Amino acid sequence: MNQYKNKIKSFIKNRYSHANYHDSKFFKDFKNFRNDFKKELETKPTKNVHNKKDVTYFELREFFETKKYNQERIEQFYKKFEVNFRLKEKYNKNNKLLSKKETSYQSYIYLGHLILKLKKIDVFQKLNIILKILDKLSVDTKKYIFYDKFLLLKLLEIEEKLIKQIYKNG
Amino acid sequence: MDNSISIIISNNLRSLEYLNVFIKLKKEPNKVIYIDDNKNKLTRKKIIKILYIKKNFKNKKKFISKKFSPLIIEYLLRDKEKNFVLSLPHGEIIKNHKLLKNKNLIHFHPGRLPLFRGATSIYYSLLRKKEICCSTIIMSANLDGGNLLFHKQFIFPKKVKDIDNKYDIEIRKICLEYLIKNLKKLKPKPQKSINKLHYYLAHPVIRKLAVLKIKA
Repeated sequence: MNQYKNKIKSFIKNRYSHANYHDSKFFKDFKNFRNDFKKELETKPTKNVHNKKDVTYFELREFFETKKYNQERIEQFYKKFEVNFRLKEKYNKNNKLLSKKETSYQSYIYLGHLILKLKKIDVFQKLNIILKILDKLSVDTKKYIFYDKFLLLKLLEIEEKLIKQIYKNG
Repeated sequence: MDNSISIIISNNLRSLEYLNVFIKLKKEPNKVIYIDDNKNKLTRKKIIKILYIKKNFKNKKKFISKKFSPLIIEYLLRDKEKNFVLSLPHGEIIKNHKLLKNKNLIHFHPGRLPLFRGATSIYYSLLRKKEICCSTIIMSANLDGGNLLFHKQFIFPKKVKDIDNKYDIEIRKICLEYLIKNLKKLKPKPQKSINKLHYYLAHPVIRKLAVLKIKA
C-alpha cells in the first residue's frame, strides 16, 4: 500500500500542518506515487478547453509564453497559492479578489514554471511550492485531460532534479 | 527593558511548558492572561490544575474565547503591564497596530532572523544553514520583522521525530528561561533589512530532506 497516496488528501486538507513523514518508506512511496502519476498522464487524451473569463490563466500563460517575467505579479500569485492552495479566476492589480471561481488547473502548471524565475526566493521555497502544485494536480484524476502534458512532465522533471540537488548537497 | 514580565497563554502544550518554566525558576509573572477556548482537553486540564487548583500564580485573568478577540485586545491596552510573552492558539496572528505599538509582545521564533521569516523555518534553517536557532523578538506589524532581543543556537535533537513538536517547544522554553533571567540587560535591536520573501509551511518532502541533515 502506497502511504503517500493514502495521505496526500489529508496533507492538502490540513494544509500540510502536522504532516507525518517519518515512515521509512516515505521517499520510496512518494517516488512511486509520482511515477504512477506520470504513467497515468501518458494514457489520458488531452482537451484544450479554457474559460475566457479566466484572467489568471491568461495572465500566467502570457508571462510564460512571452518570457516577460513580471516579478512582482508572480510573487503575488506565489503568496496567494502558498496561503490558500488555490488561485481564483480574477484579481485586480492590488491582488484583490474579483472572482470566486477557481482558476483552471493549467494555471498552476504555468505558475510552477514561473516560480523558477523569481529572484526573492531560494531553491527550497521553489521546491516547496512545486511539490504542493504537483500534489494538487495529481489528486483530481478527472482534471488530467485538461493539462498540458509536455509542461507538466517537464515540471515533474524539475521537481525530481531539485530534490536530487538538495539531497546531494546534504 | 524593565524587569516585569507577564504571559498570555492558551490551551496548548507550549503554554503549559511556559508556565512550568516560571514554576521551575520560582519567578512569578506579573500577570497570567489565559485564553480558554475549551479545546485540547488534556492540556487544558493540566493548565487549570497549575493555575486554579495548585494556585500557582496570584495575578491572573481568564478569557473564555476561541480567538484573540477585540475584548482581550482592549483589556491588554488598558493594562499597565508592558512586557508579555505570547503563546497564542494555533494560527492566531496579531494584527492590531495599537497593541503592537504600545506593548512588548515577545515571541520565540525557531529560526535565525531576519534570514528565516515565516512558517516552519526550523526545517529551512536545517536545509540552508544546517543549524537550529531560535530568535526572540518583540512583535511588530511586519510578520517576524520586529526588534530582536537575542538569538540562541541549539544542538540537534537526539530523536529526529521530536523536531515536529517536542523539540520545538524545548528550544522556546530555553529561550524563555534566558529571557526571564536576563530581561533587564536585553536591548531590542532592529533586524537587518533583507530583500527576501517569507517561508511558508514546509511540504513533508522538504521536512524529510531537512531531518536527513540531522542524521547525516
